[in-house]
Amino acid sequence: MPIGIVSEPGREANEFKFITPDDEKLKTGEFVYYNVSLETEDEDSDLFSKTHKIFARVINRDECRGYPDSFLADPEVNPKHVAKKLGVISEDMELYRMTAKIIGYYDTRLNDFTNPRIVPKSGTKVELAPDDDLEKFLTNIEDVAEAFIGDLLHRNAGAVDIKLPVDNFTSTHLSILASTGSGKSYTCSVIAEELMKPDSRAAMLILDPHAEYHTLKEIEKMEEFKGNDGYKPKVSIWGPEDIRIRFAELSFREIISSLHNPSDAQEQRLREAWNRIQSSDDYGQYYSVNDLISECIPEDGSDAISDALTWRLRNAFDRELFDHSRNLSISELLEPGRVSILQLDTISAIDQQLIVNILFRKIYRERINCERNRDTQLDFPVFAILEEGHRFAPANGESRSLPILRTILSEGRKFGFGIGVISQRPSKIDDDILSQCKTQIIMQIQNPNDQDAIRRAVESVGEDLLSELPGLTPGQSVVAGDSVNTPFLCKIRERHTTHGAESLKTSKRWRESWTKNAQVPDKVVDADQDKGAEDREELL
Amino acid sequence: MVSKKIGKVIGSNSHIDYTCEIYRKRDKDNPPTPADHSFGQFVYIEKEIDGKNIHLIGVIYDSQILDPDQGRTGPKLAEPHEQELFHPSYIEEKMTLAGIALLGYCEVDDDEFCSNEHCVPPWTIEIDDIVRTLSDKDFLKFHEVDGEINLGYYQNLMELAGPFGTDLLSKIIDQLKDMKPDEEKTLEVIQKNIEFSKRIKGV
Ligand SMILES: Nc1ncnc2c1ncn2[C@@H]1O[C@H](COP(=O)(O)OP(=O)(O)OP(=O)(O)O)[C@@H](O)[C@H]1O
Ligand SMILES: [Mg+2]
Repeated sequence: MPIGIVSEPGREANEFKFITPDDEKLKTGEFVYYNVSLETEDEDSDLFSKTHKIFARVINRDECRGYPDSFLADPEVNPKHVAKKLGVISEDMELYRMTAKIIGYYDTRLNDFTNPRIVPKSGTKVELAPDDDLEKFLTNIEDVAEAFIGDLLHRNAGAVDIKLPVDNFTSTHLSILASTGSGKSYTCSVIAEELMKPDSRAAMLILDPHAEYHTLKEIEKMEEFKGNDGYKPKVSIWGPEDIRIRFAELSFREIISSLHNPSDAQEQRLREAWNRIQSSDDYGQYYSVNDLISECIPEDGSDAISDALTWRLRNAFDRELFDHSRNLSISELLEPGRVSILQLDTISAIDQQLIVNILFRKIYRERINCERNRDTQLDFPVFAILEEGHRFAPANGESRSLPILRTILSEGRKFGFGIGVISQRPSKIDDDILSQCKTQIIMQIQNPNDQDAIRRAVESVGEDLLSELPGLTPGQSVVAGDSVNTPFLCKIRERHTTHGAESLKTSKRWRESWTKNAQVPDKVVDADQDKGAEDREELL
Repeated sequence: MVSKKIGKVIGSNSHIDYTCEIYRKRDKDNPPTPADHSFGQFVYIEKEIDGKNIHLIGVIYDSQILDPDQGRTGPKLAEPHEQELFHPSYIEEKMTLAGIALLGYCEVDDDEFCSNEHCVPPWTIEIDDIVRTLSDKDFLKFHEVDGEINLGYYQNLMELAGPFGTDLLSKIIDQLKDMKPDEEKTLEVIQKNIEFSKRIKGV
């Protein structure tokens, strides 16, 4: 059934306007179509004419006939009733002029939309695009595993399932961008769930700086994740105590940049020591910070430079994170059908960058080895999620993980290393990194700088969809990029697992805490009986 | 208020604009009082059409007084049977004419309105048709469509009544508000709107 009639061409060459009385079904972002008969070639190059559905997205809506303002004088009175009393036809009184942007017809040979560049004539009937067509045409999941992330916004729940092609976004990188609390981690968890289903069995890594992904563990017990062939996903959680960096993994640059303000002489001495260790047969893959310190001390005993270096090296590396021999083992970490969650919540930002740098470099190296048919620990592709992406790949400012991330984002697809970058501050992420994420899930964003960053990085998202961003509620998103045939609005589905990042119930915590404190009989203690009184004296 | 004969049709300016001569005191036993033909008074003219009893509904939107002695030009004098009345004596020298705007009609069955239409009636009124006041009950009935007040004749009346349209409608709405308190708010929006636009025009 037609819902509108084309009235005129739009301002842009690719747009047209149509009139509709419907104010329910036709929101901006909705898909419509009109029929056009086109000359097409068949296999024998004979021309025949075929009717095509030309799809278009509604990008704007103006009221062109509505109630006079004076009918709206009393907020308690429905203008419809006023109109009715005055004998004005009150049904379909309002008319809207919609602007739609032409996407094209779906070419089943290309599996994509083709835009014939024909603007509909005025008078052409416009219809709502059928659910089935949209489900088939919005994304292209033929021959690949699919990730069911939700359904098309504005349609009934379940009417148009949105399924992203797994192979696409896990290799050409994904970004999930939204203000805090809009559903980034939630969406990422939905994707993780999908990737662990029997059809995908991904080798997945999540860098989890807020320790909120542990609830994914629940999938190990869920029926829908089990395969007919005995497949069961594994979820491993690595706490800070499991995360170790073998000291020998650090490059000279990483070591020197961790030191507090080293002098040129100190740097010189350290470089000599480090070079000796690299060329010596005594150490190989295993040496500790103490080994490096010993190498800094001249044979005739310590001097001012070695003392200074000793203090600086101890200060930087004499910590549990750096180990003589233990290391995060990538073969334990990564395996198809396993998602490994690295909980980084008690680790400093700088160390987090260091961990990402070392880990990703190693994975990347192994993946290159694999693709070049050399010995490798990773003979399968890897997909890694980076929460707080702006911390690891900042637009300006130093980060130890930035260079390797740049490399992986631009080259990783060739070697089967895909990254999912999550951030609430797109404007603070390195531009190259952002624009290399070829699939984007963008949720509510108010900040104009962040919107600009998205505008720059994501070519395919039109202004019409960008203008929807501030009004999205948690779970509502714009999906764009290489994994979809045209950008659209999507409601992300509910998780199978519980969400591990429910926002803090502040006032409840305060109340609980108050009640607990109130139960302590005598709250005021004499100063000398107070816990720690002895230490206090000592300190003085 | 019950229905009362107040005069008869003596002419028209258009299909919906009629002139009624109000009965003089000595014409009838129960002559109309000034209140019966005041500005905004609803009236009806009864017609038999295709066996149906139709009341054409109108409202007094204008009035005019004539003195037959002065020039003897009124429409009245053109009517021969009236002349006898006039000529012998000049006792009754004042004559009151009322302008009536037709707003619609009702079908009447058993003295009850059984349908109402706010529109230009398809039938014409004839000279000498009797004009009666509309009872309060029928006034309300005429305005109710599906149980709700309707002023479907609004546009026609505003155009016809010209400078008096606003006051006339405001008066009608006042009456309706009293009769249907639950629709007061919506009516008020309309009333304020017409009063406001008149004042704005005057500024
Ligand atoms: N698809 C969804 N369906 C239902 N609820 C959702 C959905 N997405 C998000 N929410 C709700 O929004 C809340 C915030 O989501 P989430 O923790 O993913 O935000 P975030 O963007 O990761 O925030 P932060 O920047 O603080 O990490 C969740 O607790 C959940 O209740
Ligand atoms: Mg989050």
